[in-house]
Amino acid sequence: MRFRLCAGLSLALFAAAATRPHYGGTLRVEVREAVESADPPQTGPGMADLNGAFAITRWEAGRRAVFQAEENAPGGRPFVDSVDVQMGAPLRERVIDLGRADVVEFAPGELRQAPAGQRMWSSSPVKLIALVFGPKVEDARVREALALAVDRGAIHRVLLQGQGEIAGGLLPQWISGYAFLFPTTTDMARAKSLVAAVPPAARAFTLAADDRTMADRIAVNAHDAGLTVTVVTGNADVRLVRARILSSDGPTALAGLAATLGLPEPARVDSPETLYAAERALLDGFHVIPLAHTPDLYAVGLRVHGGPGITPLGEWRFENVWVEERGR
Amino acid sequence: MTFRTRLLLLFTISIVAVVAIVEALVLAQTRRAFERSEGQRAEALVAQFRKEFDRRREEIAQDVKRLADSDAALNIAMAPDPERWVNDAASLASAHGLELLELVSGDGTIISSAEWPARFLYKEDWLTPTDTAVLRREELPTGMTLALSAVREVTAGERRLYVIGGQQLDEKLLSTVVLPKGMRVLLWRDLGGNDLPGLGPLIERVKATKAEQTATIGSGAAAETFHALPLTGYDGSLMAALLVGSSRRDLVELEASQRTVGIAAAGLGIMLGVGLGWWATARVTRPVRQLAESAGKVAAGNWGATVETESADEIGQLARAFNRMTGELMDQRERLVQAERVAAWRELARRLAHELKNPLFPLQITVENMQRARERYPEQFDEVFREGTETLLAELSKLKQIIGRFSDFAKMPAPSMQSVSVNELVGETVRLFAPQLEQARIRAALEIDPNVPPIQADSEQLTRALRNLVLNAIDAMPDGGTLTLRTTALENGARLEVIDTGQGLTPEECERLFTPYYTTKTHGTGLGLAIVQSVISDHKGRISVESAPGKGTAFRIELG
Amino acid sequence: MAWAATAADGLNSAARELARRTAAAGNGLVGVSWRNLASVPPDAVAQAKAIFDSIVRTTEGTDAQLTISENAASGMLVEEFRGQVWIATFRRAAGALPGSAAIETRLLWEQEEPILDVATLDDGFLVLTPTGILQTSNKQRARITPSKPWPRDLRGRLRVDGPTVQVTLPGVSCSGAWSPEWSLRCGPGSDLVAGRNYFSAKVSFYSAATADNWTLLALTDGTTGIFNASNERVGTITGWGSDIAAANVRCGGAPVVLATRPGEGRDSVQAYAIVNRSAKAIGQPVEFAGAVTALWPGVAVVKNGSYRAYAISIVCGP
Repeated sequence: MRFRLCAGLSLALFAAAATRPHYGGTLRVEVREAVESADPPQTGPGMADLNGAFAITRWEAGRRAVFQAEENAPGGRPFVDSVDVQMGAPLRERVIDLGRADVVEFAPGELRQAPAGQRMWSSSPVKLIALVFGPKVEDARVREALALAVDRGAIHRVLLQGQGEIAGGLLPQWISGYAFLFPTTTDMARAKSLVAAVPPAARAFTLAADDRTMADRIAVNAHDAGLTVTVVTGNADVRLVRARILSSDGPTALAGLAATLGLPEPARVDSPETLYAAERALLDGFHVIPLAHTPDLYAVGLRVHGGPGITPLGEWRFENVWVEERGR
Repeated sequence: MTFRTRLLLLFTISIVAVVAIVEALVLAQTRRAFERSEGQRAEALVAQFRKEFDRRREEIAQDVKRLADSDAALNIAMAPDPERWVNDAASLASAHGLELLELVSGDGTIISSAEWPARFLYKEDWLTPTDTAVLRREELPTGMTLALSAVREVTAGERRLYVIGGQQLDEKLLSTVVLPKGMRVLLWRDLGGNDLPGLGPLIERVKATKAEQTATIGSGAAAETFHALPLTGYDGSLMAALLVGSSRRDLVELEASQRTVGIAAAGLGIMLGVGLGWWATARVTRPVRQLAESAGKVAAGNWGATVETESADEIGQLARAFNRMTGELMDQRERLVQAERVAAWRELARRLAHELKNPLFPLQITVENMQRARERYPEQFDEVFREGTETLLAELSKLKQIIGRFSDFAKMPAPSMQSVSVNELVGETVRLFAPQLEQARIRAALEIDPNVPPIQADSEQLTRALRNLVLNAIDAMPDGGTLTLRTTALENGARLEVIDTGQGLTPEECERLFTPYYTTKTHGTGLGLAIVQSVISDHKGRISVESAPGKGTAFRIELG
Repeated sequence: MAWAATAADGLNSAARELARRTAAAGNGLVGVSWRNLASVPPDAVAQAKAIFDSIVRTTEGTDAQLTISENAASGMLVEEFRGQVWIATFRRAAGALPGSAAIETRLLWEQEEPILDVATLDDGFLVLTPTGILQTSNKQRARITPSKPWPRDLRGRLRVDGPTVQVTLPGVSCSGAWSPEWSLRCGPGSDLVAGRNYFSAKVSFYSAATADNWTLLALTDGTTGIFNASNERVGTITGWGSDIAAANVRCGGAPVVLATRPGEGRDSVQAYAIVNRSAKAIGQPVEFAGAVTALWPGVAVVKNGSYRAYAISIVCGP
């Protein structure tokens, strides 16, 4: 079976596929998040990574940013003249077809909208999806029951389209190397027995999430265990959060996650064993229930070469990327 | 109860009964007619609902078939990675006019659910393809509901996809039914909990029998007749029921008005009955009553009572017979009175002759002795003349006594009525006879009832009668004894008893006791008790005697 | 090429360290189980096990679960022993990030009739076609007649082991011998799905390649999934075509997989080193004048008018 070509591109393109990098052109990028700050971001993976090789020339908060290549960039001028970033485009507008964009960010669950066989840049799993309990859910049995009831496999397979990996721990396998030590399988029988021992009034709580479908699925799993979870917007007893891993160094990543998730500062770490012990200690009591680690995903157009333009941590490295000009 | 009253009642009851029977028949007919009409309307509604229900089922089955035959379904069936289709059920359902849609893989795993998107990868156990939509329970995030659903299988090589689509079965379906006035339609769904109060028992019957049932709920004008049509699911179990209710207000109001008319008719009938009955019975009972009154008069002694009649019927015949009877009675009484008079005169003549004969015989002997002595023994004539004249004067005195008593008896006047206290009279009598009683060694026992009322009587005659009785009692106890004088209050008068403990009387003596000149004593005229009887009779009282040999005698007088 | 000696030494040292700790903590016989979640070749694993067993008296069991794992920085041997967790890291093979490789191709056979697969004999080839197997040396044919028409995009696999031959076609499997006489028996049932152009096991895939403990499957959804020994998907490679094949060679200590590129028209085959559940292209792809219709270990079939079968091999560079 062969995959359909994107409309509008000629076969001649393939004859030129193995040429040397081309200078010029604009790399058009579409990202999901609209950054509403008055100034461009200076930290975090994404547009902040362009600083140095590129300079911001246009900033429309929440809508668009344009970066121009720096002639005197370290390592040489980037191949492309500019990077044009459209922010906050809804899914139906983020398309690779028709040549409107070269690099389009997708969430794992949106991948089914991408054409089959689409070229992708994928980081390592750098985003932790986790349930974070507030102080109202005091009974540890309730938290543990939810941890045992949530079907991570179904969420990973369907809602995340198999991207990334199921998570039982805070750090992904590619950073810790021992992520497999944290259990991820459901144990509905034990979850039910834990819930049965809890007073009925304590079995109900609210869940807030930006991903409504994932929250509904968690609520369904919780219901099977005897818990009543109501999905709400705004304040809630439990939040479904996405926390980004900003370092490939285990202790640094763990400390960053603990801070983001409102957990205590981890104990001092000087070996994989102590890192494991520190991570284990943070997860005791089930105040945080890791669900999955997901990568950054970008669909990449056919005229983009020289990639991948992202690092395992999802940082943008567009200085070595070059684009085919139309009709060439 | 008088005959007239009975006749009246009979008339009235007959009329009321007829009215009631007619009323009941009319009510029954009305009810039958109403129920027939109501049944027809309910059937029409049920037919309407069935038609709409079947139409919906077909429509859903067609929609599901169209979806199953579409390229979209085929693509999903062929796709080896069902995860990418997790969000597609909602849009497909919307495009095909389905409220509910599940796309299920061949192994029963839900690929996508429009009604519950979060249930992907859960198992669906109902996967039997259907030609038409069937009723089944469906779990939604908001709870259980009933749905009309159809299942179609899509095959793509070795892959299978099940398309389960449908619509909820709820009150919206009922909005298509056109309801006549006074009728309503409800839908009961077996989802746990009975949200149709009052219809619980009917629903239980439908559940038990799975057949159409009818019941009337409520009472009075608020009553409704409900027809329940069971709706079964794909597994044959009862899942819902259509309830068609008809208000019985019209029937109740009609029956009430009929009842009012009936009651009015009955009332009128009663009045008519009473009136007619009164007139009719009067015609019948008047002669009977006259007869009865006359009979009463006869019984009271007025043997000359007659009944006026002019009718030729049985009552007339009876009246004429009655008149003849009283006429006979009068004649016989005349004759009897005549005979009694004759007998009484004869008896009186006999008694007088007997009484007079006694003193006359010695008179005759004395005169004959005196004649003999003048003729034969003139020297003894003075002696004889003196003895003889003494004897003559004594006997003449007895004669005068006898004649005096007769005179007294004959010229006893009519009583002069006044209020008399019987107790006082008794007390005075006892005081009067106290010395005599003491002398005769007779103890006087008084049993006076203080409640004895005063009676209308002639005090002197009554006193005389009482004295006669007391004298008789004293004479009956020559060796002493106890004389009891008892008064008792009666409802309308008084009873006076004089009881002695003497030798008593035989029954024959009791019979003849009050006959003038009958006496058991060796002395006396024998008129005492006759006088008592006469006094009591004049006072319209009764006197009786109770005695037995050796048991004493009790005289009982009742006055009032 | 053997796994880098330093890396093997590292694993052995880790095994030794954990064995000592186990021996110190455990009394007597210890039930031990092993699993390999890293890109460590089986012989290196066996070596590590032997070292462990030499220090600890072991038997099959679950007292101690040993897992060979790795992260981006290093390999690690993780032991779960009676509720305790011990971790010993080791340096991964030096040069594990591969250098380069060159793909060499040599034309084997050309014909008009579609070529599904080719097997090399001492004198000539066996060529699998839709109608059967052609023995090029004596032009003898073993006919394969299907009961139903073959699907479009027909695929087939030919395996020769001495005089015996096994054939896999959609819905049909054949086995027999080509020497001294042809005898071939065919029957229903095959790894290739009847009427289709893909294989079906737990998932459907067009082609497969093994890379140490992992199995790469070019799935019918266009991605290539990386599956571990427990058949769990542990990674995804995007941007490959539907034909992949193991090159049965290691460059820079990493197993090499060949993959076509997605798209229509002229095809190319690129070599990739599989490192840490990701694929790194090594060397330049080899371009073909037409579409690659079949890619099996050591064989590539290209259609450009007629069908050409090439022997394809990898030469690792510095």
